Amino acid sequence: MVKTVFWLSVFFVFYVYFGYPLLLAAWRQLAGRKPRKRRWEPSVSILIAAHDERERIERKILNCLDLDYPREKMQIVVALDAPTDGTEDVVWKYAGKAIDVAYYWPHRGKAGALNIAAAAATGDILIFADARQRIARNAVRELVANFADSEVGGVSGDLVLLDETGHEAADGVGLYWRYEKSLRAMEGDVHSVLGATGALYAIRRELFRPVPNDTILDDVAIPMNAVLAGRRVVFDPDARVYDTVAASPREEYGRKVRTLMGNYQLIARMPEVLLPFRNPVFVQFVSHKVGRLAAPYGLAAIFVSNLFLLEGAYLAFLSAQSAWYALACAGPWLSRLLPQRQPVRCGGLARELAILPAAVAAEGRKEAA
Amino acid sequence: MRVLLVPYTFVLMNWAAVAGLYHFARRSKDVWLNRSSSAPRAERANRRISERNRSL
Repeated sequence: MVKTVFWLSVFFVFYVYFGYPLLLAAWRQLAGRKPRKRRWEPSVSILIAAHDERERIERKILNCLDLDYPREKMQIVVALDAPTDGTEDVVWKYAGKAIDVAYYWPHRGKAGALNIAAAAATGDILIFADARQRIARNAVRELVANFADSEVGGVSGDLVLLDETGHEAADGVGLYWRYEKSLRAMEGDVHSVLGATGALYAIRRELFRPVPNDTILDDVAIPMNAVLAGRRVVFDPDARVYDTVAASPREEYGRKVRTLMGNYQLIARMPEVLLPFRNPVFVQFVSHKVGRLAAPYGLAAIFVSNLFLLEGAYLAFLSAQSAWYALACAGPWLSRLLPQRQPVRCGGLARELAILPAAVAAEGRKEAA
Repeated sequence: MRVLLVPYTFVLMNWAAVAGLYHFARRSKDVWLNRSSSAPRAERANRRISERNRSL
């Protein structure tokens, strides 16, 4: 019984982290279909949800106005989600002249703001953008070119993290982010990505469905509706949006927790994603999303079952696991010992390193609150 | 040297999944009860925008 638990858990975890990417690579090789991009200029609506964005919103508006796309075919809608810092004072300078504004109370959250912005949109293609990141001048053109393929219902842009020198933080992003991006690219080539980059993604207007205002992962729920409607949501690495690496370990850890919490919410609200006859990307969804949610329990099962298997190779494997977790616990101290080659390396490490003791403390504080 | 941080990253990723479930379960009321009871109506949003644009 214990051996069965051990080996089943090993196979499960191996599949989630290694087997599935290998399956995707083979799948893409055999049956991958890149979208048939073609230069095309439909009318677009760029939708920006803004709560307290006084420091960033003007830069974002000017960024959008500077995009390489026919101005007469581009609508910009800013949904002011009950700002409290005077964001509206900045936005009103442009209202009616360059952008459309939706201003409402009370605070609804990002998903609610996007619902309102989408309701005001007139373009054939809805482009969702955050207030924070800078969109590359050609990004909109690259995004919409994918919609020349009638199979494509949505497109995710590529979030590029920059260091303080303005270069792509390739080293700082770390193995985990590279791994995730490669998965996303393969999933997009096979059929559809499982979630878009919230900083920049687009969807055909007729495929947009309002989501509940408290939706955590609007950038997963909205594209998923397009997939469930029978269209593809692809990834375009040429449609770039830029951001800087977060400096705070707690911020990165908190973001990750929120993302995974959002996955539970998504599954609870869209249970059809777990039906193979209903979800065209069922295999990908279960392997990637559900697999990641269940993986920690698989890892725990491996370790615990191994404690009862102490002969031969099992003992060696237990030793290896123990060393692995001991090294993990030493992570916060190791990260301080590493030479800081460039600022982002600490930021990039922060992205992945959200300090375990701090995480435990954070959980405790939330519990107390 | 940086490869020594891989276990830490890996464990933390998985810890976040557990924490995500914990918070989803604990905050089920916040997750399930919308602050506004329904998705925003298109007509109301359009009227606001039209009114604002006319006033400018």
